[in-house]
Amino acid sequence: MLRVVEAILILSPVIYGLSLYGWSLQPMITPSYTPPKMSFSVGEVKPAYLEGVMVIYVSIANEGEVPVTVVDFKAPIIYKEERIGEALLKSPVNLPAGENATLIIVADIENATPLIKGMMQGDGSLELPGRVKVDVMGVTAEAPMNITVSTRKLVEASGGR
Amino acid sequence: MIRVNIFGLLTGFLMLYLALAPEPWWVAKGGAGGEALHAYLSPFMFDLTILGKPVEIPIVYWLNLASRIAFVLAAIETIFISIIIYQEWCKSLLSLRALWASILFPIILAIGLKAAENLIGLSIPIYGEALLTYNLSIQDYTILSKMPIRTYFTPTFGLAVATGVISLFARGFHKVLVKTEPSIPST
Repeated sequence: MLRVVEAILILSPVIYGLSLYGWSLQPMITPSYTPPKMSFSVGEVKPAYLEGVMVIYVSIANEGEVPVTVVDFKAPIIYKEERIGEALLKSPVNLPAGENATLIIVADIENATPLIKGMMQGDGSLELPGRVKVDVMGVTAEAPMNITVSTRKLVEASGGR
Repeated sequence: MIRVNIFGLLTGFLMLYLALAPEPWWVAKGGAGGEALHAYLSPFMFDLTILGKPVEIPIVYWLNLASRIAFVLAAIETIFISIIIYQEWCKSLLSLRALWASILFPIILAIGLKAAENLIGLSIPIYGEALLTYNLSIQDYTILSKMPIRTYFTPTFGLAVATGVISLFARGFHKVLVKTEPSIPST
């Protein structure tokens, strides 16, 4: 008799829980999880020259709910389908949730000739088809990130020289 | 002369502590300091959070509650029988639930982790450290993510194992007490 009473007491929470879900087991055993919103947008891309070195300032907005650190960015610099150099993130950038930051990308131009011609003609753009590495709460993730810089902006940055 | 089954008393009170204390038996922490993922599990607790958001499985809440009730009832029975030494058959009321829980918990945990591996492709160790890598395909892009994870059994689990062992001693000692004075003792 004691065991019967004990069994009823032990099973009663499960039975009560089942009754709350309309006696259906499926909704009770189905895990539910709503991940935090993770969203970024790339804003203005502005090239500049600092002591003869081309840097590209990229505005980035964290529209998500979790803080992110942009740890690394690497990309070849492509101009009219020709690789002319390499771009690297200068230093990691912290990006709290809901805030903006600026990535500073250093462009190492190895073959400037086609670019200079293009700048004089004012056509084409630099493509940086790279991969960005981010840290989200200790999880590192790598994703593609493409940056485009028009030669018009390069000309403006160089002061029209 | 008042005779008590000291091992039974100890088992009972330890079981009460295990059932009522908010201490996990197994912990998993992923990312820096467990920020990205943490799991605190026991037969009475299920707390799984990923990127700051909880994972909920309704039936687990009710099973945790049922386990807690089972342990508390078993603890009360054990304490009672340890004080009021009756016949040999009362030995069955000296609960071995702590022993069974400490044996079944890691087994169920291992099965759950294996199921998680088959479901989401992440191999989480039952004990130790690992680097979990995961490829997430979004449209034409592939996002590669890596997360260090550490898992371990807590001292509370060790206490559960010890309680299980003591409960075996309690049963043996009950036999001795009954043999030395077979009639119902008076205080």
